[in-house]
Amino acid sequence: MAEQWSRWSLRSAASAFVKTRVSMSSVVPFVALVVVTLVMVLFRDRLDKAHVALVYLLVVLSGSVAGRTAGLAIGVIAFLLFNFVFLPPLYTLIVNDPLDWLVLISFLITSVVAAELLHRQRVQTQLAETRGRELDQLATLGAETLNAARAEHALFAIARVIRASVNVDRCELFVHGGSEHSSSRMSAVGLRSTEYRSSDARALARRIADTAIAESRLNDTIEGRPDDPAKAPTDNTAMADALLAYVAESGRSAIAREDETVHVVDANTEVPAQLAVGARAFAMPLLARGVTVGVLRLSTHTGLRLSPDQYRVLNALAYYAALAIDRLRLEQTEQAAEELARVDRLKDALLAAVSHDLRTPLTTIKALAHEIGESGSPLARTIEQEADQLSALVEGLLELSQLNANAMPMNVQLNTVDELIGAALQRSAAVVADRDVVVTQADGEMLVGRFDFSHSLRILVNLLENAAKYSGARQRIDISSRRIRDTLEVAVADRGPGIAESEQPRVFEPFYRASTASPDVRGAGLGLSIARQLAKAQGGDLRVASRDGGGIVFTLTIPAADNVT
Amino acid sequence: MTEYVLPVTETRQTVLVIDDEPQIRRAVRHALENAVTRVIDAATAANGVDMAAAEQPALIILDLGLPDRDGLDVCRDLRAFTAKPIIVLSARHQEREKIALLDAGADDYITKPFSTAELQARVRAQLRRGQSAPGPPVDVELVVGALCINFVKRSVHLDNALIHLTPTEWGLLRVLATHPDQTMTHSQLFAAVWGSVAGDAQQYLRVYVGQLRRKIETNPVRPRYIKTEPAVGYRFDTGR
Repeated sequence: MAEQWSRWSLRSAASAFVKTRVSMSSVVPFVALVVVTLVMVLFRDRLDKAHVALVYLLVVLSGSVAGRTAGLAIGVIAFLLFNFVFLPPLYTLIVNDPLDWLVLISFLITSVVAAELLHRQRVQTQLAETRGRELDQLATLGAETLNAARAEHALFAIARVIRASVNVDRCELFVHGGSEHSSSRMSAVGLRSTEYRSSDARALARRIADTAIAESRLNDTIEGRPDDPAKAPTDNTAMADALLAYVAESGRSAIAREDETVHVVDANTEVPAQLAVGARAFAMPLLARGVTVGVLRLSTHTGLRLSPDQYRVLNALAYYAALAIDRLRLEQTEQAAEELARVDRLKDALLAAVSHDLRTPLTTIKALAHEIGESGSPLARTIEQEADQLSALVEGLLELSQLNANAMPMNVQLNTVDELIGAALQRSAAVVADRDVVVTQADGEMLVGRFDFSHSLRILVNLLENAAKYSGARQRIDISSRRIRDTLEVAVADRGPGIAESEQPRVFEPFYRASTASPDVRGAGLGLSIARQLAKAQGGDLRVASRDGGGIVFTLTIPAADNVT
Repeated sequence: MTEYVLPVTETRQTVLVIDDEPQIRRAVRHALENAVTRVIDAATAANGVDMAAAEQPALIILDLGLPDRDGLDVCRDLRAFTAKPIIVLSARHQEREKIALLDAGADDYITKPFSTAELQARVRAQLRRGQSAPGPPVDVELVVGALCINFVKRSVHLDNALIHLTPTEWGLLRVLATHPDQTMTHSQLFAAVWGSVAGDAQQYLRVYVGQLRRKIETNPVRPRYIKTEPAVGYRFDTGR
C-alpha cells in the first residue's frame, strides 16, 4: 500500500515540476522584451527603425516558442513599444510619417504570422510525440503478446494497457465460444469464468449457449487510483450481459447508455456519437481472421467518454487482444490435436493388436478342429462353426468401432454391379448352397457405379446371409438391380417371416434382433447396423421394406456412374 | 555284421512355412504334410530366407507381420533367387500390404482365419502351377470349358462361336489367360495391358473386365472363367 502511495506522490511532484517549467518559459520573453527596450533606448540616437524592428522580431520569435498566446501578446506589446518609444513623436502612440505606419504594420503582420507558424509546428511535434508514444505502447504490447509464456498472460497485459490508455474503471476481455476446458484454464490463472444464459438477456440478446466468458477484473494493485476505493461499477446486470451476448453474436459494436438504451454502431474510425457524450458500457467484437473470437467490454460508473485518440488506440489494442485470444485458441487446439493424435495411435495399436491376436488363435482352433474332425469326432464341426462365429463377431465389433470413429478407409472407384453381385454370390456360396438365388437385372445394360467394392460386397454378403438365415430351407432368394437416375439399386428379397412395419426402422440398430427370428438363428445383431453405416459412408443408403406376398426386401443404393468406356 | 543304412532320397516336394506363431506352423504342417509333400518351417524372416536358399522349396508360405522384418522386403529377397510360388498369409487389416506383396511377385494369399480345406486347395493349385514352366505358356491354344483362346490368331471362340473383342478386352483376356489360376492384381493387369503409362484407363479397369465378362461368360454375375478376387484383382480359373 505504501508503495502505491509513494508512486502516486512521485508522479504528482513530477507533474508540478512540469507545470512550473511551462510558466517559467512563458515569462522569459517578456523580461527579454523589457531588457531589449531599455538597452535600445540608451542607444536610440544611433539606431535605425530597421534595427529596432529586427531586434523586436527576434524577441517575438523566441516568445512564440512558449506558445501561440504568448507569441501574440509579445508581438502586440512590441508593436506598441516600437511606436511609443522609437517612432516620432516619441512617447506618444501617434505616428506622423506614413512610411512609419508601413514599418509598424509590416512588423505586426510578421510577428503574428511567425507566432502562428511556430505554434502549428509545435502542435504537430506534440502530435508526433503522442503517436510515437502510442506506437511504443503498441510495440511493447505486441512483443508482450508474442512473448508471453501463456496466452492468458498476454490477455492480462492487454487488458491492463487498455484500461490505462482509455482511462476506464474496468476493461474485460471475453473469450467467445470457448469450451469448458478453456474456461477452466482461464479461471486457473485468476480470471473469472461465467456462463451467460439467454434467459438473462433483454431485447437485444440472442441465444449464445456456449459463450464461455472469462473476465479480467483488474484490481487496483496494478495501477493505483487513490481516489477510487475499488468502486466497481454495477454493470454485472442483465443489460451488460445482453450487450455482450449481442456483440458476440452479431459481430457489431454496441453501447449501453445510462438511460438503459442500447445503440448498435458499426466499425468505424470515428468515435460513435453515443460514446462522445457518455455511456455506461461499450462492447466491441474482437475479430481475428474475420471471425469473432471474443468481446471487449469497457465500463465505468461515472460515464464513459472516449476522445478520438483514445478510440483510435482502443481499436489498435483491440486487435492485439484478438490476436492474443486467437493464440490462446490455437494453443488449446494444438493441445487437443496432440491428445487426439495420441488417442488415435492408441486406437490403431489396439485395433491391430486385437485383430492380429484374435485371428491367430482362431486360425489355430479351426485347424485343430479340422484335425480332430478327420479323426472322426462329430463335435469338431461345431468347434469350427463356433470359431467362425467368434471370428465374425470380432470382425463386426472392429468394423463398428472403426465406422463410429470415422476411421474406416474408403476406396471409392468405378465398379460394376455385375462384379459386385458376382463376388457376393461367390463369397456366400456356402451359405446359400441349398437354395436358388435368382438374379434379375432390369435391362441388359451393364450398371456402373462409383463405390467402395469391399464395403459394398460386405453389405450384399450380409444381406444374402440374412436372407438365407431367416427364410426357410430351400426358399429362393431374389437379387435385382436397376438404375434410377443417379442411383443404383441392388435389392435382396426373401420369402421369410418378414418384419413388422413398426419394427423395421429398428433393424439397423446395433444388437437388435427381430422378434420374428427363430431362437436358433445365430448372430450378434451387428450386421445390418454395420451394413447401413458402410452404405452411408460411401454416399449410399440401405433401406428395408415388406415384400409383396410375404417376406422382406433390403435395398442397397449406391451412386451411379456413366459407362464411359 | 555291418548294417548299411542307405540314404533316403527325399522325393517329396518341400513346402516352407515362415510364421512366428508356432500354432500356425503346426496347423500348416498338419494340413499339408502327406505322402507327396514335406513341410519345413522357420520362425523368423532371416531364418526363412536362409532355409529357402538352402532347401529350394517348391512353395513358400509367408506370414505378414513377422517380428524381424517387413513382409515386402522378405518377398523381394525371396524373389531374387527363386521363382517358386509364394502364398501370403494375412489378417484382414493387412490388405494394402498384401496387395503390395502380390505386386512384388507373391502368387496368392490366404486371409486368417483360414480353413484347412482352403489352404490345401490354394497350395495344390500353386504347386501345380509351379511345376509347369514359368512364364507364358507356349501353347498356341488354350481351351477351358466352352472357351477356346488362340493366342496366335488372336481369336476367341465360345461354344464354337467367334467372339469379337476390342483391343483392350483382348489384352485383358490374354494377360489373364497366360497366367492361369494366378491372382493378377489390378496394377499388374494395368501394367501388362496399358504399359506403365499412368492415366485414366486404370479407373476403368473394372468396367473393361465387366464388358469382357459380358462377352465370354454365359452368366456375367456367375463368372466361370474370370473370377474376382475382391479388392485385389482377378484370376483366370482353368477349373483344374
